[in-house]
Amino acid sequence: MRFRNVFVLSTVLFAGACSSGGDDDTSATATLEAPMLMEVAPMEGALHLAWMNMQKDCDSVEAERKMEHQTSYDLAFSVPGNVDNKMDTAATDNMMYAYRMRCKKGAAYSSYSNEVSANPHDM
Amino acid sequence: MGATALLFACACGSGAQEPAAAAPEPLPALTPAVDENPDPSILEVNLEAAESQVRFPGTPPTRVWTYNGTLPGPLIEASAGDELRVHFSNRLPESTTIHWHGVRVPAAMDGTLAMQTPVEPGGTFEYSFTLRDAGLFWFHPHIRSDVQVEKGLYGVIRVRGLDEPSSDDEQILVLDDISVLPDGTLPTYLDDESKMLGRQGNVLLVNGRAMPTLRWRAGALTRLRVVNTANGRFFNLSLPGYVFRVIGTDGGLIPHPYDADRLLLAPGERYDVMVIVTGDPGSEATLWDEPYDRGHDTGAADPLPLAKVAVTEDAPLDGRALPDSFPAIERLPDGSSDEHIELDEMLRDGEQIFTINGDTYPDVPPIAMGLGTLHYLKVQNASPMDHPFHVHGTFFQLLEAAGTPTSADALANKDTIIVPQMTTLRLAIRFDEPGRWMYHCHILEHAELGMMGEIQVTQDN
Repeated sequence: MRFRNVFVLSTVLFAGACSSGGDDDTSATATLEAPMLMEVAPMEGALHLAWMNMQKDCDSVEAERKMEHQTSYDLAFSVPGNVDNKMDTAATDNMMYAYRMRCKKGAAYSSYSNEVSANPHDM
Repeated sequence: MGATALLFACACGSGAQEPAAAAPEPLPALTPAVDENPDPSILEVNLEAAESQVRFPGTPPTRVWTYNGTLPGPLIEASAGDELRVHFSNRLPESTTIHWHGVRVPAAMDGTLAMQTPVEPGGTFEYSFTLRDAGLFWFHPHIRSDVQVEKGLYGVIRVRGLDEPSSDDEQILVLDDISVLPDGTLPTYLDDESKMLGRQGNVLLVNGRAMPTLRWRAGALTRLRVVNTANGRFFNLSLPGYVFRVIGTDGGLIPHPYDADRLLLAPGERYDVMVIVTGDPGSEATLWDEPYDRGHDTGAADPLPLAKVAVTEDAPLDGRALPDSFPAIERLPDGSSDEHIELDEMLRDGEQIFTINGDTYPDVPPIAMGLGTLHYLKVQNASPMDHPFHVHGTFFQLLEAAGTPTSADALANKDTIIVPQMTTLRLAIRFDEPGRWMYHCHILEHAELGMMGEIQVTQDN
């Protein structure tokens, strides 16, 4: 098992952290910066996510996941606001999973991060 | 730089997002433990584990756990053959023990749950044993060790022998790192990369200080006693313009000192090195922690400054020479391996675990050994990352690494050794104290997540 360099930093920077709009049910606030999703990499049959927290005082960071047959995102996990990585051990099927993230502080949310996709079987 | 490289270079693990700047401070001397016994051959000290407060650069004060209120804890100074008595009291909010890393103690004094009832909050325990070997050792809890050591519970024992090499100066360097959040707190959530690599902090510490200044005298024969007390970080030291003369390791001096440009210390390891200070008076150099690939892309990190070396304006000393030999140590004879230990990592039921022969502690079947009998361990690392393999209660010797026999000049007594990724070591080992002895990976998160086992030593095996 290895952490894989799936995306180089320049790619992520050009992709940028942005609001994807769409199906979010909570209004974003311009005062909170979205995380920057750096990497989604296959690891031991699951997916390893790494991101940068552009907002330093989030209460939590939420990741949303969308399987390739889905049209909308579901909450994948929530971690404390200082955490910058997580293994999504629920993403194990041979398909593409897309992720986006946002910061939560109190009742407010940031916009969504960039989106990154990967297949856990693509080792 | 790839995204992963950047992740490990500046944001290793939970909360490690802002490497802190530090104002220059001298290397703090370790606080000596107070000997309360007038008998020169008995060292009697008090140790209290309690919450304390320290300030790291750029953040508000941080609440840590310490022995006797200092980070690192007190320095216990002794001579080989001394008896050490420790009156330990636990003022922490949870149970703890003290393990005497590298010290050959009776098993009941080893501070593991295999042999000792935990010291509950408010409780006390009397540790007492003879310090049989000269060398640099350290002590730390063996309950929830990943958390308790990370919070600051560790101290050092320096035991002097009869054949100590002479030097102009000697410094102990206790290496550590710690994750400090912007509000000065320590992360309580163990993120997945910290499980995988061990906690790696955003503040590097030498004797509890970030980026201290080591003051050396030009031309001086300077001895450095180095211990890595970090949970997960491997320190790969370099000092441009200098070569380290390695004169000893975990179990004391080695017969054949050797030179090294880099000094790699896994968690738990110690090295004893000498340098002749070649810098001119008033010059400065930087001691670096260089990247080292211990697996999972860790080799792509940037070098990190660890300490500054400032050569004093004193008149240079001259005529110093590095030692090139020390008395022989007993070489354990070779033999065929009789125990196989396979280290591995895997996901099980969605959780990261670290295994020994496919099991996690306490479900790892114990290894039986006879008292005073030579045994041979084949330690196979089946995982794509290095593991520092630590055995309690005795020293072992490396016989073979990846099929290559250890040279006659590389004889050393070790208690912690790096088992490189996808590599097999053969070790010779012999216990002279009965009891249940732990062996484990000294990346403390790995030990707590399963990579630990017991060796049961009895008279009749």
